[in-house]
Amino acid sequence: MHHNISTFLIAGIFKRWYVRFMRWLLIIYLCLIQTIQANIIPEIKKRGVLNCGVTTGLPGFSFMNEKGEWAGFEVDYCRGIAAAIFNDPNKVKFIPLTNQMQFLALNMKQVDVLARVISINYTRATQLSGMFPVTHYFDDEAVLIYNLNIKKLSDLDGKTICLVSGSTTEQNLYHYALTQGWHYKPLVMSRGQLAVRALASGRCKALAGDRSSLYVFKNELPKPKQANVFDESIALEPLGLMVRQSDIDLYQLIQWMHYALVLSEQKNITQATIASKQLTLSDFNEQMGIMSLTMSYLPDHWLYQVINAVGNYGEIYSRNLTKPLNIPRNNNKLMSQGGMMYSPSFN
Amino acid sequence: MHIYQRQKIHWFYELLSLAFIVLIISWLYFNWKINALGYQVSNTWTFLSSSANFFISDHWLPFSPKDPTWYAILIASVNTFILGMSVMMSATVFGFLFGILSAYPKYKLQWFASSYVDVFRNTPLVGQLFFWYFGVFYLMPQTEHIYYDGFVKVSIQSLSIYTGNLFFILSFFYLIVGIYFLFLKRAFGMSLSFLLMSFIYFNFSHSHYFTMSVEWLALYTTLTFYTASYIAEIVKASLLSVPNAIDDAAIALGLNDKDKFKLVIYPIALKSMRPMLINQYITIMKNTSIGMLIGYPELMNVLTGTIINSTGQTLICVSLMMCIYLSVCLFCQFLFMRKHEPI
Repeated sequence: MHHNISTFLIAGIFKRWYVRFMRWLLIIYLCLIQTIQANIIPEIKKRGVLNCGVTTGLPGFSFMNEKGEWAGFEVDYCRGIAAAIFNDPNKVKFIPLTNQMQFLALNMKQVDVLARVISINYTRATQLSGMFPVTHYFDDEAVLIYNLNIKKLSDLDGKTICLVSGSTTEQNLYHYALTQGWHYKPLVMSRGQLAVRALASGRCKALAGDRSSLYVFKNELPKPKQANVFDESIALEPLGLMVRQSDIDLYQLIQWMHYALVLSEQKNITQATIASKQLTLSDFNEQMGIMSLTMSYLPDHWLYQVINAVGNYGEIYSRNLTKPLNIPRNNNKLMSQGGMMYSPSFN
Repeated sequence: MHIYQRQKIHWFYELLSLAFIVLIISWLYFNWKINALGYQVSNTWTFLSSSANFFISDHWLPFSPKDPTWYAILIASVNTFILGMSVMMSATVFGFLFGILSAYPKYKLQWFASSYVDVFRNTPLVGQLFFWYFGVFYLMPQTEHIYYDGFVKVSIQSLSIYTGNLFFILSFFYLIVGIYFLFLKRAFGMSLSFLLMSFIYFNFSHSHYFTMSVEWLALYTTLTFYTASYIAEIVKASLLSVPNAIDDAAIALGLNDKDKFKLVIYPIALKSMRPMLINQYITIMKNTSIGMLIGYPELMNVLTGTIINSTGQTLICVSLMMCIYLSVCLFCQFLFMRKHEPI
């Protein structure tokens, strides 16, 4: 006489096992549900470090510099958040993510905030369980040409255009070509560096992407003087940081941190003036027009800590983008200087 | 007792192992479900039927961006499948050639065959891909060059070969054969594949040139040479594993060298090399995914690059990708499997 599963299935013993098993599962399931929190900052404090998802390397925005430290425009935003929470800009763990895995990493709590040149669009804001606190960089989509004598974008009709996979460029370029009534062949490369090499060899006639990235790619070409970034733009690409929809506290922190960075540039408050104690906390509050900075889980002087750690918006921009890479400020100037950066008041 | 008959295990351990497996799977499932609930991830399949809204540069079947997304996925799967099948055929030819050459010292080119295997087997696949793509195929001329009175056209974009009406004739021939097989007993699969090939060839017949993009050529070359080195080793090992006594017996029967190889050694060797060859064929199918690196629109590139990005449905797209690769590889496995073999 031998036993196997089918004999017991008929005897009904398996069924009882199964019921008991499902009861256990339900209990585990209910236990896990209760661990979901509405606020993330207490959890970050408990952990002692902010998890920040960055690109695998885009000079100027987030990359590893020659000292082996993460640096860049987006990296400074993450350091600003850490300064607000811990008063220490170094309490950040930078996690490099690919374009494909970024949103999954945010959903599955691998990172607290995504700071990897994410374009804001409807699908991402509504269907990906994430929120964009603020536009911190007004980018637009353009085309980089190399060794090619053309005047208009429509002259690229029928030619091969290189793209980098995992960006909104693909959809935007398609819709632009559709409305303009021309056609192109896409060559979707996995990494920017490979696309640059394809452009340099003449495999594709143009490289489409965010204007900020194109300035970086232009310097990687063998003869940057023969390259040209078109002034004509394909679409507006506002870039933002991204947090989960449940983490409303981090959302508010990032939003008002950005506004404070812009306002302090407007008021000429720099990192140096705070670090050299020229400006005390009360002076700072007076100049910024801050009545009370109460925010749950944060100290009352959190903005003072942020400016002390990373400086104002203009300083972050020139340190990472203007000085090393010559990226013009265009739309990212203050509104008083003809740009699009503004801040609501802090009263 | 038959060797494949199931061993009897005590029912308690059987249930225990089943419970363990179910526990792990359901833990993973509920973990995902809770995260999805907590953060309001909407997992929907509706994006499959909405229009794709992107171009695909290389496609064997007709495609326009207005077509539904599932059709774009099908186009990408066909790209993967045809690339894999082409590589399978050429890698088998090269592999057998180099394998036979390197198995016997009597061949003058043995040193060449064995050094070929040494080079291609001991360097990384992606490195080889970059070598062929950036190092070899990017040396093609920037503007289109025409050779042999327009028979071959070469540029850095593509390689075109004049075929005239060949594909139209082939398509017509395959159609006839496909319809003929429809009326035969137990030849439905054969008929279906002939009709599919007829349809694909008919699409080529719109142009008098057969055009291959540089990416396709680079992938084809890389995978062919890489896999051929493995197949050569398999073929060599199987040929050498035939006992010397059989060799002597064949000589004693009075067979000459050619007949000895063809009738005695090769059939015995083929039996032992077949499972390992199936391994290689499945590996080829999965290795086509390196096309993502150089922008060839195969399954990996289209599904986990473009579609994930436009819809944001990472989990669904990744599991769909796994399922399609699984079914393509299973198909290859069953294609080369003997009848009555335990699965």
